[in-house]
Amino acid sequence: MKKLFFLPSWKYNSQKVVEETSEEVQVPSLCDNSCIFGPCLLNINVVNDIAVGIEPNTEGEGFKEFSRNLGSLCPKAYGWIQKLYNPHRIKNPLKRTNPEKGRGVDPGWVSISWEEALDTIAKKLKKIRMEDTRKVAEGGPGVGGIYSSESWAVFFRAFGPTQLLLSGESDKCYLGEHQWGNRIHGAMMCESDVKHCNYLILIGLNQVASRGAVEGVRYADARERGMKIVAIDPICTPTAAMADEWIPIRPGTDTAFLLAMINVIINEIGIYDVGFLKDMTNSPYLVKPDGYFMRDKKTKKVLVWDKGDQKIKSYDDATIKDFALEGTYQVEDIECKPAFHLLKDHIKQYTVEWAESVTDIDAVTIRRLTREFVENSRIGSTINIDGLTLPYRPANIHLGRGVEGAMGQYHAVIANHIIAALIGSIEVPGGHCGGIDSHRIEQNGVTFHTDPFFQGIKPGEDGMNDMQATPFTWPPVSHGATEVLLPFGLYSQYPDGPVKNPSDLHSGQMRHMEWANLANPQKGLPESLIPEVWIRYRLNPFMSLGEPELVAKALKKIPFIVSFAYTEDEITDYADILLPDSIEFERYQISFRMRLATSKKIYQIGLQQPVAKPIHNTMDLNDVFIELADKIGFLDEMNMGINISLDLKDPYKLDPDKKYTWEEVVYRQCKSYTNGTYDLEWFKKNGALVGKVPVEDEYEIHLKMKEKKLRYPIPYMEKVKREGEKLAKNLIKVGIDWWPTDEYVPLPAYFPQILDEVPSEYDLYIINTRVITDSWGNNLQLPWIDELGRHLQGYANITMHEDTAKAKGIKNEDTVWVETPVDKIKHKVKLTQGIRPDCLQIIGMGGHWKMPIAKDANRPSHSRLTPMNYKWTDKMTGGMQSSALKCKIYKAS
Amino acid sequence: MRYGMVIDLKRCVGCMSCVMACKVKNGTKPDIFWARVEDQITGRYPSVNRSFLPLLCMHCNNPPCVDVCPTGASYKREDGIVLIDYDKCMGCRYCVIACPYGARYFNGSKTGYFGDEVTLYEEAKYEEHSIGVVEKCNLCIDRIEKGKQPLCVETCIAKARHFGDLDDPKSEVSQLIGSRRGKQLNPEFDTEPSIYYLR
Repeated sequence: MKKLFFLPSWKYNSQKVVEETSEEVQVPSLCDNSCIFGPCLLNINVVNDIAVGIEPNTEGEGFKEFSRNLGSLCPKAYGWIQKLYNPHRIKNPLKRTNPEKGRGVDPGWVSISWEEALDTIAKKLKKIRMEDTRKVAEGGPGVGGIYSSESWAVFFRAFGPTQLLLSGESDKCYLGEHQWGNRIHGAMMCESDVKHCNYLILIGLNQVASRGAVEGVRYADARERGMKIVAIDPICTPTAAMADEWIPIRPGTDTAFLLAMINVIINEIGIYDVGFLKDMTNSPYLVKPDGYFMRDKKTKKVLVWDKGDQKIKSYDDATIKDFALEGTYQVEDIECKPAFHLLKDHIKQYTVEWAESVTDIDAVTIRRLTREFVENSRIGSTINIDGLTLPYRPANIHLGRGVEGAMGQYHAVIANHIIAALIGSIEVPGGHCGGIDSHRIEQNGVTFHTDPFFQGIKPGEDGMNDMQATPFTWPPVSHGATEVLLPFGLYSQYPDGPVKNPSDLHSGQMRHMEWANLANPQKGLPESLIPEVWIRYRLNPFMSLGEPELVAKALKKIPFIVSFAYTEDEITDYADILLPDSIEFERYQISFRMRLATSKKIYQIGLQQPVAKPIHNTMDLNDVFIELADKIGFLDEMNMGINISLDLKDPYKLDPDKKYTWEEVVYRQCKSYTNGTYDLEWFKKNGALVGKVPVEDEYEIHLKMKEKKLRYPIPYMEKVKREGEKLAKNLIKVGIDWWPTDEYVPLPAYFPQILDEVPSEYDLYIINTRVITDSWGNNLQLPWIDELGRHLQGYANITMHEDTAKAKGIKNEDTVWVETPVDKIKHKVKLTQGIRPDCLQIIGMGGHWKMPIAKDANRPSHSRLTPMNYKWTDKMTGGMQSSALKCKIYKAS
Repeated sequence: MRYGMVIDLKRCVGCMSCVMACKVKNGTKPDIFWARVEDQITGRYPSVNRSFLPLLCMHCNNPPCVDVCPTGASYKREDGIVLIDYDKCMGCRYCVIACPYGARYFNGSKTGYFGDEVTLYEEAKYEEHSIGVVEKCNLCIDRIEKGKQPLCVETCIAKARHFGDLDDPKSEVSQLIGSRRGKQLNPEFDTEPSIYYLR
């Protein structure tokens, strides 16, 4: 801790004289678990062992320029103080005495010692480890703990294969980008390079609310520089408010807008980056009438037409003078066309006038926006950054949860990548970025790490970045059957053969169906193993999925539930043991990986440290898992797992036979990542180390793709077609007739919306959105957050258009019923002009009935209105249809 | 020397960081906001304008709150900062009515954010307040005297706020007011606020 100053004998906060001479110290730390766009460096002001303030940490070298938060802090970070002192916290380990579980039933909690709690859990887990580890289900970590629980995954992988019973990822993630951004350009998240962008179209993306502190600064700088923002969104969100134009699109029709843009670019404007299409995409690849690439009989290589030599050649033939993008070519008596030619023909059906009728954006506007977009893309231009000359394409389209919370998102994501390819903007300055390839970076003796889920560059089939698919698995190993239904699912490690264990799956997709199927087994799927133990950490499927009754029914089937618990909440009503874990300001944690990208890559290693003496009988989750591993008898495997997971180098690796505290592990991380130069004491005093990201790292995907002569696997998704056909056949074989595969087509297309199938009496759309104060919902127990949110439009109410309300006889602040085919909720309504007349707005994460403070906030429940079944699940990503629903609204009597 | 602030409304995104930072730094009671942001929607769909207006004490050169204070509790310092001496304030609230910007709050509450249960943080921070008096933004004078900026300026995620000496023509705030035609809120009140806005 750094002594900064002594307070004078009186304080200035207004003029009250406070007779004290307390020493104030500043404790560097970081906010890492209020969203996924941290960690944000901060200082905590501590007086007499009590945290009394927080401010951005701008003191370290480079913190203002290179840290994640660039010397600013969003409101969520300040909430940690109230989180620390919240009197509703669980203060001791608790065990249930009432065997009856359920909403509103008193569990009869009694305090127990940590020893009793951990012994009870270890005994059960030890028995299961001898029998079948899949009887244990992991329930975490959610966003609230995803970065503070390094030991979580290590513990469970050392324990053995488990089931996953998780929460909001299939409802809250950007699954389309996770799956396809990753496969196309190594980007788990696609991002706009706003530092160089001049024209940015945001579609259904409330960037202000969902991209943390960092993007506030960068977007404001870009806007001041002159970047134009067009916000396409049914709601005038804070993001739309800062945009130059707000265009209220009809919900769920974003793909139609994007398809029409492609048509205008290719068939009306006719200006596109021919060089990029020829060299860095599969546009020249010849396609047979059956929809598959034409390949050389012997080498199996894809063929192209060389306009220079007027010859058929392999795509990688060094003698090719000029790839043909259009034309019809005879190869072995088969008439073939380049992929681009097929796209050009295919896209003609998506006329601007058609798009106008679908999207409710007039044709003139669609054409104008497309033209502005192409003009601003400066096709052919270059930029010199720090001595490196790169293509310069300062225009981008950025999709948000509006698109990626809806069915059909694959086609929107692919269409968007095709638009980026048409202007040649993938992974170049100003354009469509987000990819990460290097996962370990050495700079000035410091090792920085990036998020391992970014695929980066991975040479795959036919000279393209890898479109890895998973072999069909039957019978399913998970309750949601991801491995059966999604050949392009996300996996921690892509299996070569059928998926063996549910814990091989990435936490992203079909999470809602795990719960739905556990509650009511799906017809056609074999009944899966009901977990005997569920261990839950900082997630709440009641709030972040749909149909809470299904979650409740599933929970009741699990005999023993252990919940790490900050306060009581909806889940703890079903738990058997509550473990009060130390929160972020009470423990050590090194935050060493660059997280899901924003438009800014970072190299940063930061420390969270305790700011005061523990005020309750809590324990760090990481220490809990070390204790459990020791009690169960696999501490050696756990330690070896930590060495790998944390990338510890000799001599800082853990000795498998020794038991460590997490503080000791953190000490070793500090030394290991800095080649022994900086220890924990140094980090405690200074908080973090940051490094400048050099330009060649910033645009590494482009440079490496060029170096390896790889192509982005667009616009023609041959593998999607192939895998879709295989899937269809396999599903027939196993008798599944409720999972259509018609979206598996090689070129982006528009499919009828499921919303159109809802009976017409449900005449309005419900749009789900976020506010920045609680964008991931894990700070809703804080009165500050609730009080603050009430300053924002739509926070605690259902919001609807004034004219629509008037037509329905509804007045401002009336109590109304909002009803979907699933359920209905009763709530107050607020009227506005800032929303489409056919829409209602509900901010997510409301509807708590148990969690202190949050239950009194009385926010409407979006999850209660959201269906949770396969029909309402996206067939390509396993995401829930949640960003747009249909409903009817009427006054409550 | 006259301290003032320039708020760039073109950069503000309504994130409420300033509101939260102020609240946590100053330990204000529920419903008391030394800093706040108004979220406004004007116009008729689809020609709608949504805007955010950050508000705080305007630290007026001619502060009406000082004029009406019967005890001399409200006063203006030489550097332009308007303050309240809690020992002199008798809680009459004339100043609350006189302030045309709604920047003053009466602290009449004995409870904190968790009802009667006062947290360790609240216990420490509430010592800096007096019950039964009026309070408001003090431009973080403790930070200013340590060479720092007010916390609302430092935390701003859009870097929309600038702080400095309005009397110094070379200061960033003076330059911004000149080059971007900074405007005070409701100049017709003749209070000469020290807070300027850029549109």
